[in-house]
Amino acid sequence: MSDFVIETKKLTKIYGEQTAVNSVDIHVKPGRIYGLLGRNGAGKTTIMKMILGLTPITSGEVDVFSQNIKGHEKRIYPRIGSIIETPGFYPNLTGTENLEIFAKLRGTPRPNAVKKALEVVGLPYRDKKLFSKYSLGMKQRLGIANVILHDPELLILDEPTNGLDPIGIAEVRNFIKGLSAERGKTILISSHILSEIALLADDIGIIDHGVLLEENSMEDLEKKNRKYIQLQVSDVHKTSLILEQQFRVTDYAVQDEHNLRLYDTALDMAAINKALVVQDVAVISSQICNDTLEDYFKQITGGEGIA
Amino acid sequence: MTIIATEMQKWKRNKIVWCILALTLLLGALAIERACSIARSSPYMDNFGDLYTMAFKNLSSLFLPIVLGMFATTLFFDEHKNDTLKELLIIPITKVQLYFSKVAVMILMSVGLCLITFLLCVVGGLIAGGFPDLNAETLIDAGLLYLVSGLLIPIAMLPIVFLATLSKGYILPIGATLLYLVPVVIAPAHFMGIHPLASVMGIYSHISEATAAMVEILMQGVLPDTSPFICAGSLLLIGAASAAASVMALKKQSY
Amino acid sequence: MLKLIQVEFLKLRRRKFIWLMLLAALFMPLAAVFYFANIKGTGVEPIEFYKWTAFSYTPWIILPVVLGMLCTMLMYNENQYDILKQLWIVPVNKVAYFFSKFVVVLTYSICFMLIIAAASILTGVLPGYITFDSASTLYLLRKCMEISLLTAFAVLPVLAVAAVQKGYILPVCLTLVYTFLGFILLMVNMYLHPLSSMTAIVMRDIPGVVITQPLNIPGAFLCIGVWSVASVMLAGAVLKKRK
Repeated sequence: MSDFVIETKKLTKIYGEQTAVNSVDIHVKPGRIYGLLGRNGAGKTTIMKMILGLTPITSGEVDVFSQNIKGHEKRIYPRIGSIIETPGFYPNLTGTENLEIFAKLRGTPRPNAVKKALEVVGLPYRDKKLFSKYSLGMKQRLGIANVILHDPELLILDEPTNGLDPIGIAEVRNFIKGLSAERGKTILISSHILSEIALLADDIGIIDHGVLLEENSMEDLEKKNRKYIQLQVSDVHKTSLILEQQFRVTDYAVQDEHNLRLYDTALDMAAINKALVVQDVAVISSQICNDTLEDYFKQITGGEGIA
Repeated sequence: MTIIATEMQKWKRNKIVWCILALTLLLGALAIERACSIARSSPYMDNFGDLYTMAFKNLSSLFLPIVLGMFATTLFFDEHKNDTLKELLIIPITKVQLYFSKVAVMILMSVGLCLITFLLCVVGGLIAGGFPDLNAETLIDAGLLYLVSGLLIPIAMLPIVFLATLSKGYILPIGATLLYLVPVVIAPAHFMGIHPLASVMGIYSHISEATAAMVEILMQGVLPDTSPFICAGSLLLIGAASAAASVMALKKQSY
Repeated sequence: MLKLIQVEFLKLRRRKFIWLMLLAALFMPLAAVFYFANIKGTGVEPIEFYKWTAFSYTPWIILPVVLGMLCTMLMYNENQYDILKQLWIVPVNKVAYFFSKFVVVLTYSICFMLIIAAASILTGVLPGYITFDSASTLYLLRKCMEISLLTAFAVLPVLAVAAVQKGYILPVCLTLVYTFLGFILLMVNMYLHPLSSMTAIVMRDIPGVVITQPLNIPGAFLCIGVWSVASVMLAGAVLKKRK
């Protein structure tokens, strides 16, 4: 019995001569939110589509709920709720009617499932507005309502906050967090908005050009992210000389004409500031900082600072 | 059954269904109008068989195949257009279920339109009056004709349904529907046992004398001698092959 | 306007089906090969042959259906991919937009009939059914041009409906109903329906064609003209009103 709700083994997708997903091994633990992070075109949606069987797998395997997805779709899919790209609904039907169709098809046993799902996402129940008249935000909300309609154990969400306003994004974020923390749902979520993933995810998979570059928990990532002293000065060249000659500091990086990063946060900054001022180097600012997820992502995908 | 029921639900507020219904009623009404205006002494309308075969010709020769071809196209194309196919597949609904549920809806529509036309004929026969053979036996023959066509014409259109599943667009299946009818309109006798729609005609001709006479006219004076079993076999074989090809085409597609 | 027309042709790139539809032009010439092989053999009058290949079912049914489908495809594509709003904010004049689509339909119609003309000559001369002569060839070309121009105008109502509708089914159904209505009204009154009027104009000087109704060429042009103007006005009014 696997410890993972979703486990992919060397999952690969090739379109003609292009490898969209290259030998990806992701591990989604139960009750946690796994953020699949990558730029546009990195392969996030393709991985999700392969997990859901919407696109054939070139090679590799997908195990969901410890079963190979192939051949067990009827048992596995009812336990999954998902949004892939923009949610599709019938334009001639209202939101309620659309959900009723999907509720019927899923055989949702709860009598008020549609009403409850619409309440959760803030859409009206049994109103007369057709889906074709919905705004982008309303369409996305209806998609989310469709995901939770049958109370699935696993949610696969491809950029669920697309098209939502800032308040809507915050609401969905809190809702997703609640699903995981309070109701123990497992969630695989993809996004190219790093700040959103940083606020949501318990585990991260960073994907670039179809390759899974890193898979880690957010806790470990935060530990890995280096603290440093950001120094803004009037003369970086003189500052470098002073640091090396007077203080024997070598673990630093020059960013531009006025900015340096000192990676040894135990340095005596008072002494350094004094030495710089004496040598006619103005110290504009000096503060302790952390790499953000964005900085880390840029390093990983841009090739800077990979261990 | 649930899948078929939801397929029908998807057509709520869809004007196309109402237009199809309206046109069916119009065609039936045209036949009734002819029955009322042509005297019973004329050989063109001296018995109920003339009325129901006239209405039947109006419905089944071009109208029903074209309607079913276009309807099949919209059934599949609209799922692509609305991007709802992926939502259905992850429920999960298998591609086989998807295909057969849509074919079932097509058959239901066909049977429904045929039934409406049959009922219009009966009402028309009573309104126009003067038909000496308006009795249970003739009504059973007529009912059988409409039921058989309601069931067989959709099967004959399965090659078009295959094109609708194969292509993610609408023009190919609609264009193919029109081309598909050309051989049957121009030289149906030559295509009996080969072209599904011509084979269907070969089956009709064995239902009653009136339908045999109707088919003879449609075949431009040539009463077909092809066995109805050969026609039925050919129809079912082509239908089954088209269904298998459609399911394979759906399985190969990515969403 | 010229830029708009150029852009319309650029949009047809990689749209295989539009080019495949041109193959429908070969249908009647190929049918004629079989017909004349079975029935008459060689030594056929060129005009007799061209009546089969280009002057019968082609203008009545094949060309109007093909052009109707083309109109639907041209208009529906803009709606399907929500491109219209991008065009209006350029800004592109709505009537000019409609006319640019009409120019594509007209050009397509001309190409279609030219293919038929070429196919008619080839399928007639190569098997030896007819002998090539310049008079009948020029006549064929003239008639094909007439058919192409008049039919393009005659299908303007379909183009207008396709422009004002967001779907594809109604214009396709309308194409079929419109075409068959034109064919049926040919026997009843040639001056009510643009396609019937087009037929009256085309058939006026084809030898061997008997027209049972009195010929009224100005009336036929008037019918086509009225329907065309009404179509343009409808399309313009609805497009301007639409948000």
